[in-house]
Amino acid sequence: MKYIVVEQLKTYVVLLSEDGQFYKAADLNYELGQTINNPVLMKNKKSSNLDLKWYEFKNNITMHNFKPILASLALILIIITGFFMVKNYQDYYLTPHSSIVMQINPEIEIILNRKGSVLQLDGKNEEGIIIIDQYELVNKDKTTVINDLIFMAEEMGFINDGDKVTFGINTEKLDLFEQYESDLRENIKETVTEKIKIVIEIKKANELETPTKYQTEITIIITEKETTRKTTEGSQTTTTPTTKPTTSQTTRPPVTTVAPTRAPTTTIRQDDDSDYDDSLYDDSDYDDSNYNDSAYDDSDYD
Amino acid sequence: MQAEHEIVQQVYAAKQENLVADDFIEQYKPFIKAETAKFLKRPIDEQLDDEFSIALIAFYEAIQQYSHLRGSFISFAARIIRNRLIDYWRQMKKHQGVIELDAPLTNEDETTLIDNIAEEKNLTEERINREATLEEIMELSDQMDEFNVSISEIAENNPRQKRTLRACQIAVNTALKDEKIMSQFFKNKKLPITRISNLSHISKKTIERHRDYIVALLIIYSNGYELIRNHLAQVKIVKGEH
Repeated sequence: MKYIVVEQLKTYVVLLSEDGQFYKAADLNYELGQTINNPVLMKNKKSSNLDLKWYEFKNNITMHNFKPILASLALILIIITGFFMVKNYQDYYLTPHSSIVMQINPEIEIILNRKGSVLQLDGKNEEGIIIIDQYELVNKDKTTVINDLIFMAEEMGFINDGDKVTFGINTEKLDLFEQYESDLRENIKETVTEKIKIVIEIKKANELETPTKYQTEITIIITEKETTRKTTEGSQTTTTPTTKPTTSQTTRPPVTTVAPTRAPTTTIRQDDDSDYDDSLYDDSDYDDSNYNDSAYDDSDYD
Repeated sequence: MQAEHEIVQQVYAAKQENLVADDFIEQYKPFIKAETAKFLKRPIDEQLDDEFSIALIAFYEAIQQYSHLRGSFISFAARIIRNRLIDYWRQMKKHQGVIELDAPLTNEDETTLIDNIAEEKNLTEERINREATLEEIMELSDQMDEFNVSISEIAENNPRQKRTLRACQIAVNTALKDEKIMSQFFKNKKLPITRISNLSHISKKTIERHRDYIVALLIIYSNGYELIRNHLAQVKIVKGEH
């Protein structure tokens, strides 16, 4: 193969081969226009473009044009983090996780969230719905809520002395079951009022018997987070109590305003008047220092 | 560290611009000379020693191949030079015992062995030949300047693969036969890529990529350049009608 020297530069020459290719080659004392046979051709290997671009990129990053990139990256990160935070929050706090079914006659399912706070109350039977209607869910602590509900049930006449209140805990996890069980045992008051004591029974929710005597049920749903209060819509029955203590307090409604309608069975004996709150009676004004009874001499009375 | 960084930057600049590369090489000539001397274990003459020229293009190759991920440029370049020189010596060893015909007889005069052996007639013929070729080359170079194409650049963008080479030849042939294209070509001093692509069914991308090469061939094959064309006998291009 013959080559013509078609250009000569400082460090190399350009050769034109017989097959029409141009090559850079070593200038072995060539002259322009010369035809040669044994060239030392230059290899045409180049470093990748990618590498060059990366190098240029590295060198061109200054704080000046880096700032907007940093800023938008940071913003994206914040948004993503925020998204996940909200999601976690929802999953943890707002999702129903477990529930406790309270059976008296009224059966109430208390739906709890992961943390164990009350999310929602569900009336599982008519009486349950009635109670739910009257109860305003403010406090999310399950034992407080349960105590409240028991009290309300008693006031409404659903609970009599010696009645049994069954709690069915509805959760898959054994440790959660045990935790709730001990929580209920410790904190649910057996003494609803002085006269009325209840028997507490705690079971797994799937072991609950549906009471044949009473048809109505309430489900109290306990969920975890402080969400909006939820009470289920109850169907209006004819036995709706007329006067109901619907104060917005979470604790016991004052006794003085109670006027329950009776459930078909026993009446409550009113011998106990310890509940009469006479703190209102203010007799501090009575000043009997004026009673002049010095005239009465009763020292002779034996 | 700072000096190293500067060198890398220079190399990257040299990669992109031939003139910059020339300056850079000029700057490092002493280094290149030293490396060659190291290899040959004797002092080097820039003019006479082929090895030096080879080391020069090796250095050029190093510039093209270097990536900042490969460590220090100097050591990289030294390695490439050494390898090249080894390759060259292996080739030379094949002809061991044979004196290079082009090697100068003495250091004083420039005559070579082959000069002395050759007949006077042949010598003259060859010289005439060379000088005539030189003329053509100069003219070609001038014409190509008008088109903003340099021969050096062609060497970089030459279609090497058979397939692309063939495609370029087809494109050139098609263009040569079309009067409109050729007149437009010479008038505007630009390559009418779209028209050629449409006519020859070669993709625009291919033509674009090897634009310089196609321009050179079009010029060679449309204006005299007999000697060069004779040389290119192996190239399958039909001569244009002129």
